[in-house]
Amino acid sequence: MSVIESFLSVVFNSSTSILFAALGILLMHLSGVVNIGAEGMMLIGAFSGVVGSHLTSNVWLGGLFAMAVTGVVGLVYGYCTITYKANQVVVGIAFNILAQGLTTTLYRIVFGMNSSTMKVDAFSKLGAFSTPVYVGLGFVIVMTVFLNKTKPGLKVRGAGEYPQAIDSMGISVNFTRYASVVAGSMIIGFGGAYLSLGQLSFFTENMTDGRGYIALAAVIFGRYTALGTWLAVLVFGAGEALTYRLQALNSGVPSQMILMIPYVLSIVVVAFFGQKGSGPEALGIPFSKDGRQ
Amino acid sequence: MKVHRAVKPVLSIFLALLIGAAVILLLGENPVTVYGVMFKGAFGSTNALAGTLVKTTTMIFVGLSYGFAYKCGLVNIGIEGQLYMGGLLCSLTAIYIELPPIIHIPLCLLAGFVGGAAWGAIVGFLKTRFRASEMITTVMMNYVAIFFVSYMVNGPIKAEKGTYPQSEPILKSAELPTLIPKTQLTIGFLIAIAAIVLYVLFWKKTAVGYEMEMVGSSEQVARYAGIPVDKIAIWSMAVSGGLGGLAGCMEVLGVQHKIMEGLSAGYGFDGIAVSLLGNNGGIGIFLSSFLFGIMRYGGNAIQMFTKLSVAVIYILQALIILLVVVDVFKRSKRREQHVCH
Repeated sequence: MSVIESFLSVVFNSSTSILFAALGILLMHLSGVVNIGAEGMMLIGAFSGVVGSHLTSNVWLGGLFAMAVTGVVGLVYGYCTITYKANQVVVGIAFNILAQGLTTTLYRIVFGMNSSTMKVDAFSKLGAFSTPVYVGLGFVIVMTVFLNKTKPGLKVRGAGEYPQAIDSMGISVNFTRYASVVAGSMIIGFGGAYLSLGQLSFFTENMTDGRGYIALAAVIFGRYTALGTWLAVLVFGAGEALTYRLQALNSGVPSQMILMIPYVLSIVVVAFFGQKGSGPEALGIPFSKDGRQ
Repeated sequence: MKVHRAVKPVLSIFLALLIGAAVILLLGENPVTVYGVMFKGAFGSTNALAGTLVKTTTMIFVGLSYGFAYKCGLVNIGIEGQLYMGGLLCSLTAIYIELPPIIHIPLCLLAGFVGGAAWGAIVGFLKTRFRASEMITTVMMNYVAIFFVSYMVNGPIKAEKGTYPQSEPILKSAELPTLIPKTQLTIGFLIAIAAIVLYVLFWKKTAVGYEMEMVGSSEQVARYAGIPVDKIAIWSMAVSGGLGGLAGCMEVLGVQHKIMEGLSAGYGFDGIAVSLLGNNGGIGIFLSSFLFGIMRYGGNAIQMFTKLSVAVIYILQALIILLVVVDVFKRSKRREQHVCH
């Protein structure tokens, strides 16, 4: 029993950062904006979360600070992709590279070279799980209701599915997209902060290790619904938990082969469950009133 | 218009350096000093210039790799993994097969190309067979390749002596001959130039190149024209991966003379910026490779002589990409177009 319990606890604890990132990506994608840059946004969230928590000695303020910073990052992302209509994939890649450069450089300047010993206030546990795990679960429900039952939620989906219709109703497609991008980025940023303040309690260079991309795979696997995304994230969480367990077991399987599991899993998942048809119709297409790009 | 096309990248670079200077200033360093250190690190001596050209060589291959897939409408973010798999196959050939140099070197290059091409072809296959987005699969394949190489150099091909996770040195017959004695500049640089020429000829002169470009500009039109779109997409990913594999060969045969963990310091991702900045053209890719060679090699000097880490060049690189694709200079033109219609 305790084996199963501890396994589940690892599944939930380790998948929560990906869950937040995936829900943020989901919001952006549903509004019609592709976000390959989640990896970088998470990294910036992870970094600014540690900085905020260090400065305020309060982990929740650290999380808020991370959200504020990634919100600004999202605004810039929107400016490039919505206002300037730049290629969304390339902008996303550029944001990942930028985040890597900025966080690595800033980290060495703010904290010096040997700072893994530095203590920051981290998320405390509530029962078996760290507190944000519960927040994440609640957020799945909030997102489901928001996207299906509320007017703003329907606007978001309309902007991604059939922007011309939204526009003809007198609603600004680009404003809706901006709002989704900024809010989505903030959620992704919190996922990053959970990585550095919940799962671990420090920042290391490039600590996201592809989680932003895994979150993207989860959104596709989850068929662009909040509930589906959550289930997909749990599958990846189980993959990660399996990684830890196999490593601890000393099974004789080379550790590198074990560490590959989450990545191989996401290739398989995207290949077998990622048919393109399930995405929003206008995903990745900038909106102009005259229909031209 | 020709002038405009050439001026735009230069303006982008200039603006990126300017914004980068502001960032460096905010980080508490003098931008003039930092850029000066980088420039001196890249050109200060024969050795420095050779080092810059060595990095340029690698940049050319990753740039061609991204450009090749991009022209066919595919986004290859998996060059890093293709570089590792190419490097792995190349080093296996270079370590364990004994041959005279005249055959050995081409065979190693071929092995590296095949290694990267196979890695790329898998992505192409998954895309055409299952509609799996290559943007996700390529990234995941990077991690798999890096872990696989790490496994190999920690286990099966680990050097007997020493504790580092690295292979035995490659045989002398597989080492690329140097162009300038006592530097790392090898004939790899010439091979890279030849690759650019072939790249240009392929797109300009061959029917397959024409078909690939057609698929890239409109898949639907290409389908109507009877072009085997799926087959072409797989081939394009394979060649793109092969070029990434050759970048791995350059590191193994010309620089490291072995394979180890951390063979590439993220060079695969530089390919994106190189290709975009060079507008996918031959001369463009050469010039932007040279620029990134300067940043890569001179960037080491930044780390040595200032407080900043070499990661500062990532900031510059990202700014260059953004300024190229966001296209701040095109805005006014677009408005004019609107007036016309």
